Amino acid sequence: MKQSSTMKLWNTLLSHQLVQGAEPPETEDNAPWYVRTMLGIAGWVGAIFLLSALFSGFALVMDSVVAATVMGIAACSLAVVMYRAVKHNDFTEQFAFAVSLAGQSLLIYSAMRGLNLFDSVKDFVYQVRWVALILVALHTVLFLLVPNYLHRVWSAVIGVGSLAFLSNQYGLFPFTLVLLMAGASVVWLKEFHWARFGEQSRALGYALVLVSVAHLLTQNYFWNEGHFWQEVFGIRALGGEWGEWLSGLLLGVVLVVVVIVLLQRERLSLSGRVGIAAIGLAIVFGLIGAQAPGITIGVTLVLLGFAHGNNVITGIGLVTVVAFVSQFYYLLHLTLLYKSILLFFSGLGLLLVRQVLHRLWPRVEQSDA
Amino acid sequence: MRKSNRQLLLEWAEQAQISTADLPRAMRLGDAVPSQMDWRRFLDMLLLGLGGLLTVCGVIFFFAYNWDNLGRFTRFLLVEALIVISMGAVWWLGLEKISGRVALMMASMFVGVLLALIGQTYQTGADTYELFTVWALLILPWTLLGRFDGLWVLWLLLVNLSLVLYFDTFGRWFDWWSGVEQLLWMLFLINTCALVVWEWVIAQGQSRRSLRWMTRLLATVSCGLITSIAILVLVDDGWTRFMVGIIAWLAWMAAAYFWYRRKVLDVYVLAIGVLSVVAVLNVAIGRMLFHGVLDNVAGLLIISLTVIGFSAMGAVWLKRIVNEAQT
Repeated sequence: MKQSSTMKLWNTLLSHQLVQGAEPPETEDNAPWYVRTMLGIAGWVGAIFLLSALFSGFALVMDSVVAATVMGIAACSLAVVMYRAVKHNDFTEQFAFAVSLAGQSLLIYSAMRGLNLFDSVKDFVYQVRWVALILVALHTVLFLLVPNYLHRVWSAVIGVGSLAFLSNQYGLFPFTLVLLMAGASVVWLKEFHWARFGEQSRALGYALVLVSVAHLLTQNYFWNEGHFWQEVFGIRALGGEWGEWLSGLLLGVVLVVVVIVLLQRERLSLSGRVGIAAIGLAIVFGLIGAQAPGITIGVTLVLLGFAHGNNVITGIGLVTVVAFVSQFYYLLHLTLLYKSILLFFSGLGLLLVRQVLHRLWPRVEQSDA
Repeated sequence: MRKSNRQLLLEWAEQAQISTADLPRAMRLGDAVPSQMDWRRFLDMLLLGLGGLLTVCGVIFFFAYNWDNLGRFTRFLLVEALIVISMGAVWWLGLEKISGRVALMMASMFVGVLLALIGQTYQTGADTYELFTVWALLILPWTLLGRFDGLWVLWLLLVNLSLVLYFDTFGRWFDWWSGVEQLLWMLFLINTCALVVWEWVIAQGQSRRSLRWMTRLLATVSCGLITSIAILVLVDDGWTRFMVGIIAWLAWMAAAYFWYRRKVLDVYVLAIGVLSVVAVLNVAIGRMLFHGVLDNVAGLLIISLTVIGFSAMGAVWLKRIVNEAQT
């Protein structure tokens, strides 16, 4: 069955002169995303135990910054060698992942000790920035050196997360999310263009999406709309209240740009009926998102995922919308009455737009059956 | 479960079999990206789903605001009017259309708002679990009639919430088990029954077999609960509870293996089963190791290796199944 369907696709491409020669053999890496996730969770737990064993067994590691650094570098290097030397061996890859995680933890621990993070709170902000910078450097190196998709996703998440932290630290706070979403949109829209480096670009794309969603949900809820940054780190949001409002609108701009790119791909005129309707709809979502950014972010991800046939990104987008709306209830920057009016009329507006679309594109009606 | 055309085309592009300039065209030829008609259907569903969600949330937020300027009768009139309008939409659109089902779901949500409003207005003193229980009971006929997966998820969520809130209020039903364990067992039984019923329903007609998300959601919840129970009885004392918990866990694993490996292949459910086996086995090993058999360092090292080893073995098995399915 596989032979016929894969061969059929290959033959279709052959007949359109997009490929040449015989069908290439399939790669062995056929694990679906949930098997990779399962491996990631288990590797992470294994690393915690491995690290605990190291700390329990070698008191020297706890006491000496140099020893912890040397062991951390050795563990990360060992992991790189294992990944490069043995390919397509699940046990080796899983063990290398745990060794790498333990090595990374040792390096960060030694950096924290070296910067006296545990002893002095005086230069706390300065020291934390250094730790984030070290994480960016370490994970950039690992991202480039380790030829393994799961590890690349992990490195990209930590690297991008640390960059986002630094961006907030250096005063870009309300705009970090815009930068992350703009980055995610560029990487996913360029997925086919950068297909030669598919593993790297997809790992980076997933990291940008995951960090964007994590940033959105934590900044609003756990960190009290940015007051966390002000209270703990003394950071003033760029542009004050206007900055936050502007960043909401800029997320809408990202959505509009994504829609324009997708329309151009479909070779639809921007000034045509469909083009105007699509851009108009994106502007409506953008305006809703000025006060409720999670909706804009979720819709952008849903569009990016659907456009590329990527169900994981589409799913993350839908979950983001639902998670944000349930979180929106508790946000204090607007009264419940204002929020209810915003949501109710936005919802009715979208249902109305749907009816208008039925009139403009009558064939949609068939899908409703 | 062969690789999708999208995966194959990306692989071929990575191997330089297709030029990146030709990849978008290849994706279109392989139906890996949506056509204009797919976009229309998708936008239709997105607008319907999002519109319905935001409208319902707007209504919930409005009544939670408890606006003083609005009299109690006006409030009741508003909610009841919303229920009537939604049911009118169901009647007008029909339950065969997805829009009709979404309208039914909105009506079901408004019933919850009405019950909350009754509690808020008359200060009935009812416990929160009663609200969710009555809500679940009232919308059950609609849920049965609607045959809509989203509505079933809402109904099941309400039943789960009722139970959690009941145990939060009263603590326990019987004295011989802890409240947490009783709650886990109750939730496990309910969600496993839902999974069995769902599998039975889709076994009757293959048309809904493509809705894998429902199976996976229910299997994840059910497996998560029985794994929690198995871990709880492993770390706690009590022979009878231990036996009951472990036998139930083994039975779940055997049933999942039989059904999702032999009857209906679903590697996702097998993967969460593997994760459960890794977790339970390592808790068992950990319990043995940290009861004096080995000292801490050796124990931690062994656990780290067993976690890695079992999960790697599981991955090898799962990949073999994927390979078999592909050939």
